[in-house]
Amino acid sequence: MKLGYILSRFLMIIPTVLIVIVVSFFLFNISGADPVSSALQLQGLSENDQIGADAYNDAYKLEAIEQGRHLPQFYLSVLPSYYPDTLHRLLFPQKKKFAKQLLHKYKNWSSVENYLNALESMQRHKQLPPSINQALLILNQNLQNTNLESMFVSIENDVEKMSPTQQNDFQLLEDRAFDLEKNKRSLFYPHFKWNGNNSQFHLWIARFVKGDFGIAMVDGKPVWTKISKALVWSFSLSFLSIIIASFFSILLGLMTSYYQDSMFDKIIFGVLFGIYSMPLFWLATIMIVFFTTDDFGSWTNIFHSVGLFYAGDGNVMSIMVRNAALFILPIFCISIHSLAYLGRLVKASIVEEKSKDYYLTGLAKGLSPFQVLWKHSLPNSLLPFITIIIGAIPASLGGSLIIEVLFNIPGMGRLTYDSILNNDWNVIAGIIILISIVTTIFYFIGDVIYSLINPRISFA
Amino acid sequence: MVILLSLLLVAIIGPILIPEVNISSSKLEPFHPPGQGENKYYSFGTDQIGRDVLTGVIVGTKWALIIGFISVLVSAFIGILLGVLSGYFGDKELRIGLLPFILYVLMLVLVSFYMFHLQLPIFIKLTLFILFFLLSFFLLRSFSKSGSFLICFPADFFVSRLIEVWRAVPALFILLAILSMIKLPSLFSIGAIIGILNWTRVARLLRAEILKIRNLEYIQAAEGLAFSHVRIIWYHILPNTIRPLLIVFAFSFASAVILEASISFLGIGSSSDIMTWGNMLKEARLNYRAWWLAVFPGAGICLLVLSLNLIADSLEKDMN
Repeated sequence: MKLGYILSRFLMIIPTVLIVIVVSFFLFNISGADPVSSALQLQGLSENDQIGADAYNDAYKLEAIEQGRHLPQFYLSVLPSYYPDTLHRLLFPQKKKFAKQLLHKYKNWSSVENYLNALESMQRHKQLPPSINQALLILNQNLQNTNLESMFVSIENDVEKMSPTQQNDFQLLEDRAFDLEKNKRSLFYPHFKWNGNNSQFHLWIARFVKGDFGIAMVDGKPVWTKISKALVWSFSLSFLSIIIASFFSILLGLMTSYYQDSMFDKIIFGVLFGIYSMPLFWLATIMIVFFTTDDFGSWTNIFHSVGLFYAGDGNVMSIMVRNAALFILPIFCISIHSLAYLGRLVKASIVEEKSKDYYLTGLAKGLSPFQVLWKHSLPNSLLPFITIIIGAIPASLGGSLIIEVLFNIPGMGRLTYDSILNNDWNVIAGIIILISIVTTIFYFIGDVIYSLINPRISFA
Repeated sequence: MVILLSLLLVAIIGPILIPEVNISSSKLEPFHPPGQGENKYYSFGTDQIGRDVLTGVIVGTKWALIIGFISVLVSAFIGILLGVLSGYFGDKELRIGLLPFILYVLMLVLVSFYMFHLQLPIFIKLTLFILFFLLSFFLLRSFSKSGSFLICFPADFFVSRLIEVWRAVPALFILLAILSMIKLPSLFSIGAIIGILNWTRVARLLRAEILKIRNLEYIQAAEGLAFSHVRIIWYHILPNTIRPLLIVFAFSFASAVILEASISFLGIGSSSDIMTWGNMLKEARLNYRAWWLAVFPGAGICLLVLSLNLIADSLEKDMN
């Protein structure tokens, strides 16, 4: 029965990870970040370079096809009936967005396509009169509130000044613009289409299954390298703070359960509760300002200013050892914040165990209270505590965002924050997937461990 | 507890008593410490563009309360619905007719599709979707009379898996990711997103509590009297769960306030025009010599969260 429980919990990991990969893919697509243009930027091309618009567009197309952006997005596409089959082949994001806007408004792909072609051929002409240019600009928007007739009437004079080819193209454009409004449809139904392996999602999930997290969009370094370097910092910070917090909270719980309801108990928990109510970043800012700068008297300027003081080469462990003094303040902040909750939990559990019968039996047998506590009731009372600690380990992998940003520690939180500011979605997706996988696995391990050490629970 | 309830009341009445919130740009005195100032007597000092910190703290109280309230409301709505579904119905109780179920799933897919692609303002779409969702429950119940082909829908299984998946993803990251997509979200959307991310606490607690109450004798008596499921849930089960729910709501409220302050502090949140406490602390971080910018909003957050935590704590002690 226990084995069945463990097996079923283990099997739950896979669907969770799959769903997280789907969610991250969804976020990646909605975010509007353009991986093609950032890949081109890494190669040194950008839109305003000397090479000219046509060469840039060709390079864009090549890169987009290489990344697979010409494929549909998911295995199954559910599209409205007015979408063309090949909308996903429009590679340039602005064109695609504009086409989609027009489609949503007019719901007739053939007239929209004609209109877009006419617009493109018109825009290829050079040296048009300025009013024509302005009209083109208006036509390039969503045609939301424009009054087409009055606009075309007002520029009739300038139309005469153009060359005959330009006039032909402009007449075509005008016709097609009016056609749009005429052929507007309104009803649609969903249209299902099976794409099979030919989809962007397939490439995405194949990449992650192989373990290749891709390349960061900002500077081209592999995402896995960045994450692994940051992970060491975050993990050591959180590991140390968990150890210190649990040590002190057990100590605190023991002491306060002994001197229960005395002034000592009330004062300590009052102070800790007050500190718990403070937001973590406020506490950290006050610590930084108070202890690391000269503002409030130089006698409090104990620590260096925050940040890596002794930078330099060497692997991460040696940098960490050299900068060990950096860790004191962050660990203090994190530990004090969790000390209130954990201390109260330990105290409540110990008090509960003391009222049980086996405690009295132990005292009657002749053991000292300390011996009974240590051998019998402490293992029982630490069960919820252990659950929380095991749950805190995967949370620590995410790194405490605020602490790392404030204290300038290059951990996972800082990496996430920087990537979000830079719109670097490869890194963000990689971090989310990694943390979710580790969280799920750790919850599973925590459940198994809890079921092993607590024989009282039933397997529901 | 009375003391803290009164603190909370003060925090509520404060925003109503805002005397004047006009930021006239002719009398700007940036960076005055408290107590100094030529035209007005700035009791809390001014910030970088000369806005009075006292007004900021009062307005910040209003925004913090609004955000906490909205997030608790959203998380309560989703959490109570799903928690009751999984706790009350368990794995074997929810019997629906096969045909209505298939029709319901198809209708859900169709309605989602049309909500996605119709061009209506988003609030109308959201309210229509929620209305359809709630209406469909009534229709399902009425179509599932005994005699038709009933299937057993394992509600507990699905909702528990959903909660596990939801908890696997780190909430702060998703929040930051979503907020970075919607540049400068309004405070209502921030509250709604925080609520959507936090509903699992409510659902888990509710499920645990309902499992305790479910097999008590008076519920069985009510079932024996053929009360409908809705009536049993509404009149017998939910009133017993209000106590633990209130505790979770108080903690969620506090954590939503702190979360919003952290988000604004990091710069990814509401625009800097709106004076929430987090925004003021963000400005305070850059100019740390102006201690009055950091102390007063921080004290505000501290007091609000402290009062909420103490209320939740005393409720908890009361319960045990």
